Amino acid sequence: MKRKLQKKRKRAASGSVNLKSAALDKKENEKNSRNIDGSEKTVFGISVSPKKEHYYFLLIAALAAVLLLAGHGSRYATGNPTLPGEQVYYHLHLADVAADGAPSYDTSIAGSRRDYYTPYHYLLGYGGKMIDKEILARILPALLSIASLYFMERVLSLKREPLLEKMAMLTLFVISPAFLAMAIGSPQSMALFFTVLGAFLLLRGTAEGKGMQDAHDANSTHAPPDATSPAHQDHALMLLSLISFLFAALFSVLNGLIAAAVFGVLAFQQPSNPAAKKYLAAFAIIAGIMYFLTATPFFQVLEPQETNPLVQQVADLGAGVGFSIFFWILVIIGVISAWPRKKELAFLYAGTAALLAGSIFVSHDVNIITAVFFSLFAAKGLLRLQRTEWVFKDLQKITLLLIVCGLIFSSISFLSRVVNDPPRESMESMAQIIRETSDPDAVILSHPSNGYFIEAIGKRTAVLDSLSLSSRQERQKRMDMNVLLNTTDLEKAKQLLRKYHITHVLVTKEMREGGMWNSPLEGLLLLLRNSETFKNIASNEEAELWKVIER
Amino acid sequence: MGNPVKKTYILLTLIFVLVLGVRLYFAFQTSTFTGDEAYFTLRQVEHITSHGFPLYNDPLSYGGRSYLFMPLFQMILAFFNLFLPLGLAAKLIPNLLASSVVVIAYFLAKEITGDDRAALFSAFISGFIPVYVGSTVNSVSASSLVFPLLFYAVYCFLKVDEQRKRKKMGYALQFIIALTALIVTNSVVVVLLLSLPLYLLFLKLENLPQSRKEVELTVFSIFAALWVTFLVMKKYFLIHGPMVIWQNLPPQILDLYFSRISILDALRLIGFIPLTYGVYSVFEHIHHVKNRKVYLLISVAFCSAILLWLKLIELNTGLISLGICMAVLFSLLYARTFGYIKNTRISRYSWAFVLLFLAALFASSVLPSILTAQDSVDNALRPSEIRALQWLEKYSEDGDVVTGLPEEGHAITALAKRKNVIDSNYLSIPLIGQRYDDVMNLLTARFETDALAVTDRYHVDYIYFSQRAKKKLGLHEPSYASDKKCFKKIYDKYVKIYEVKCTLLGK
Repeated sequence: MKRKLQKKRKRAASGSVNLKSAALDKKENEKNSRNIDGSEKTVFGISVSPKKEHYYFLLIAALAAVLLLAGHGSRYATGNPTLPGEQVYYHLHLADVAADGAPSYDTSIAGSRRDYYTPYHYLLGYGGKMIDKEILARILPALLSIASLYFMERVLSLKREPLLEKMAMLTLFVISPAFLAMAIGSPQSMALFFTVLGAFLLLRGTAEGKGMQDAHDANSTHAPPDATSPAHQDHALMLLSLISFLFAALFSVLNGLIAAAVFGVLAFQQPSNPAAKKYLAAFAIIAGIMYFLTATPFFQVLEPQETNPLVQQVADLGAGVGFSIFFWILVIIGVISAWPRKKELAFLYAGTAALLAGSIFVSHDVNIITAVFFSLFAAKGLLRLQRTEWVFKDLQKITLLLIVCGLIFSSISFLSRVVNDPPRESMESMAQIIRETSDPDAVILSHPSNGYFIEAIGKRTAVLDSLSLSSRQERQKRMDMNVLLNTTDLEKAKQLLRKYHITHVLVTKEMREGGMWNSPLEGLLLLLRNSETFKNIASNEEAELWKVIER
Repeated sequence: MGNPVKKTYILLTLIFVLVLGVRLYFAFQTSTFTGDEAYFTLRQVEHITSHGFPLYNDPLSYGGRSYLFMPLFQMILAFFNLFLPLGLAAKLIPNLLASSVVVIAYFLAKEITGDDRAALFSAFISGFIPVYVGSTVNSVSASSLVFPLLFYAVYCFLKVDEQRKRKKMGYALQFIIALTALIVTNSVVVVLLLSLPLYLLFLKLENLPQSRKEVELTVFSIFAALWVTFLVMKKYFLIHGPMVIWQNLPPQILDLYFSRISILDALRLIGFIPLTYGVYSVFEHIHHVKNRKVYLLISVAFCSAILLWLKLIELNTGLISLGICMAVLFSLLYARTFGYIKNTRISRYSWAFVLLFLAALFASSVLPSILTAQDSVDNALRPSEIRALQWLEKYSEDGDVVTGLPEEGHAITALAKRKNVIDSNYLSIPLIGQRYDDVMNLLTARFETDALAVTDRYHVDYIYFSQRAKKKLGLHEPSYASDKKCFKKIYDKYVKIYEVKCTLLGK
C-alpha cells in the first residue's frame, strides 16, 4: 500500500496526468460518503455526498450573506443608519482622500500625519464616486469575504481535503465573530481575498492542481480543446498568483509575511516544480523593494488594544475580533487530535502559533487571518467529537447540539453588539451640524474614539483619533490633550487651545458618563461653563458642540 | 439488611439530627438574618411567591438596575414558602439542605474506604466544618444547596461505571441532574468543571485506565456549564470580561472576599484534624497508593486550593469545598489507623482511641463550629434596625433614596422598600469604586459641602446610620449632622435616620 502511494506521488510530482489516481481519489471520496450498507452518510441529519458539494457551498455562502445582512439590517432597522464601529470611518475617510489624489500627509488630524493607503481604500474611494460610499463600505467587505470563502473552498478541494472537513471548516469560519468582524467593514477582507486567490492560482498552475483539473475534465464527456500549451498556462496562472500575493502584501508587512509563508509552503510542496520557487523569489524581491520604497506599516493598530489576552481573544468576553469559547475548545480538541500528524501539518501548527502571537502582541485584527487556521483545527475537533463512538449516545447528541447552539449564540451575540455599537444615529446629525456651523479649517477636540467620525463624516480636522493613541509622533499631543481635558485652570486651557488651534469641542454622552469625566465639575467640562470662552452652539441627546470664542 | 448496617444508618441519622439540631438551635435564637445577601434572597423569594418568577429588573437597588443570577435556590425556598411562613422556611430549609452534606459525605467516604465507622466519622466532621456552619446557619445562603449538590455530583460520578441493572435511574443521569441543578444555582460549579479534567489527567499520569463514561460525562459537563453560564450571564461577561470572577467588587473590599489564607486560618476555619489528616491522605495517595476514586476527591481539593491561592474563588467558598473534601479524605487515614491498631496488642483499647478522636474532633471542629454559629447569629440584623427600617417605610415616600453602609443596602430595599445607593450586588454597576468611596465619604465626611456633593450626585433623601455603622466607622453620628437645617434627624432609637433637606446649590 505504501509503495503504491509512493508511486502515485512520484507520478503526480513528475507532472504527468494520472487519471487513474485522480479517479481513485474520487472513488475514495465517494466511499467515505457512504456507509457499509451503501446508504449515504449523514452528519446532523444532512447527507454527505460529493455530488452535492456545490450545494453545500452555496448554503454556506448563503449563511454568510444572511448573517451579514442581519448585522447591517438590524442596525438599520433600529433607526441607526451609521456604520458600526469607529474603524470603518477611518477607512471611509482614507478612501475619500485616496480618491482625491492620496496625499502622503493627512491634514485631517491636527499636526498632520502620514497615512498609508491600501488597494481597498482606492477601490472604495473610486467606487464611491459611482455608488454611495457608505453602501459600498457595507457591500465591498461582504462580497470580498464571500469570494474568499469560494477560493478557500477551491484551495481545500485542490489539497484533497475530505468533503466533511472542508464544509465543517468553512461553516465554522463563517459563523466565527472574526469572520463577521472582517466582513462587516475591514480591509483585511481584501487582503484575505488576495491571499486565498493567490493560493488557488498557484495550486491550479502547478502539477497537483493541473492533475485535479485534468481528472475533472476527463470525467466530462467532451473536453474543449485548449489552444495554449500546458507549460504556458502554468506560468500564466503562477504569474497571476504572484500578482495576487503582491496585492495582499500591499496591506501591511504582516500581510506580506503571511502571503510569503503561504506562497512558500505551497511552492515547496511541489518539489518537481522549480518555477514556483522562482516566482516565490520574485515575490520576496518585489515585496522587499516595495516595503523599502514605501512607508508600509508592520500592521496598523487603529484602535486601543485590550491588554488582557482573554478579553482580547474570546468574543464572549467582549473581544472585538475574537472567537467563541466553544470555538476555542474545539480548536484545542482539534490540535490534540491532529497531533499525531504534526509533521504533515507542521505549517498549520506553526502558522497558527505565529498568528496567535501576532494577535496578542500586535493587533487583535490579526485574528481575521488566524480564523482561517483556527477553523481548520476546530473542524477537526468537531468531527472528532462527532465520529467517536460514545457509550452515552444521547449525551453525544446533546453535547454536539450544545456546541452548535453555543457557536451560533456567540455569533448572534456578536451581531447584537454590532447593532448597538457606536456611533448612534444622533451622532450623524451632529456631524451634519459640525459641517454646517464650522469653517472647513475648524479643529475639533473630542474623545479619540470620535476622531475618525469627525474626519470622515464631519469632514473636519480632529485633534486626536484612535490612531493617535499608538503613534509615537503624537505623544506630546496626547499628553497636552490629557492636561487640557482634565485641567480646571482656564489660562492653561486657553494656552493649549491656542497651541493646537482648537476651534470647537465635541462632548458626547459617553464622555460625560465616565468615558472622560465622572462629574460635571471635572476638568474641561467645568470650564465649558465659562461663557466668555466657550459657547454651546448645538446639542442633541447624544452630544454637545461647543465653540471656542476666546483663546 | 443486616444489623450492623441498620446500626450504621441509625448512627448516621443521629449525626444528621444532631447537626441539624445544633444549626436550628442557633438559627432560631434570632428572628432576623445575617448578612446583606440574606435580604436579597428573601426579597427574591417574596417576588417569586407572588409573581412566579425572580425579580430581574429591580427598581430599588442602586436606584434601578437589572440582575442576572441563577435562581434555583430562591425558587426552592419560594416553593416551601407556599406552605410555610417565609421566616420559618428561610431558617429551616437552608439548614436542612446544609445538613444533608452529612449523608453525602458518609456515602462518599464509604465508597472510598468501605469502612462504615470511618465513613461515620467523616460524616460527623463534615457536619461541623466551622466556615460552613458560620456561612450557612443564619444567612439564607445558596451555599446550603451548592455544596451538597457538588458532592452528590462527585459521588454519582464515582459510581457511574457501576452496573445497576435493577435501578432505572443510572448514576450518569443522577450526575447530569445534579450538575444541571448546580449550574442553575451558583458559579461554584467551576470547581467541579476544573476537577473532572484534572481527575482524568491524574488517571493518565498514574497509568490508570480512563473510563469512557467518565470522559464523556466530563466533556458534556464542560460544554453544558459553559453554555448555560454564557447564555445567562452574557451581559456581565461583556461588561466585565474575566473580571466577572471577582464580581466587580470595589477595590476597597476585594481583599475581604478574595484573599490569601494562612495555614493557621485554614486550620481554624476547616478544623485541625480533617485538614491535617486530609492533607496526609492526599500525600499518601499521590506518592504511594493508587486509588482512582480517591483521585477525584483529591482533584476537587486541589482545584479548590489552587483557585483559593490564585484568588479566583471567594475565600469562604474555597474553604468550604476544601473542608468537605478533607472531611471525606479523613476517612482513609482513620480506616488505616484503626486497621493498624486492630492488629496490635492494644486493639482491646481501640474504644479509647475512638473516644480520643471524638474528643479531639469536638475540640477542633465542633467547638469552633459552635463559636462561628454564635458569631453569625450575633451579627444578624438587630430588631432595632428592623423597626427603624419599617418605620422609614411608613415615613418616606415611594421613590425616595436611602443610603447606609454598602452591606445594609439589601436590608434597606427589602425592609424599608426604598431605593438604595449601594448594596452588596456589584455586578454591572459602573464606577463601583467611585460609588463605594462616595458612600463611605458621605458617612464619614467632616464638612457639610462634602456630604451634600454626594447626596446631590445620588439624589439621596435619607441617611441611615445604624449601630453597625457606628461600630465600623468609629463615629457616634455623622459630623455634619449638627446642622439640623440640612440634616434633620427624624429617627433616633439606637439607629439614627437623617432627612436631607439641602442641596449644594441651596434649596
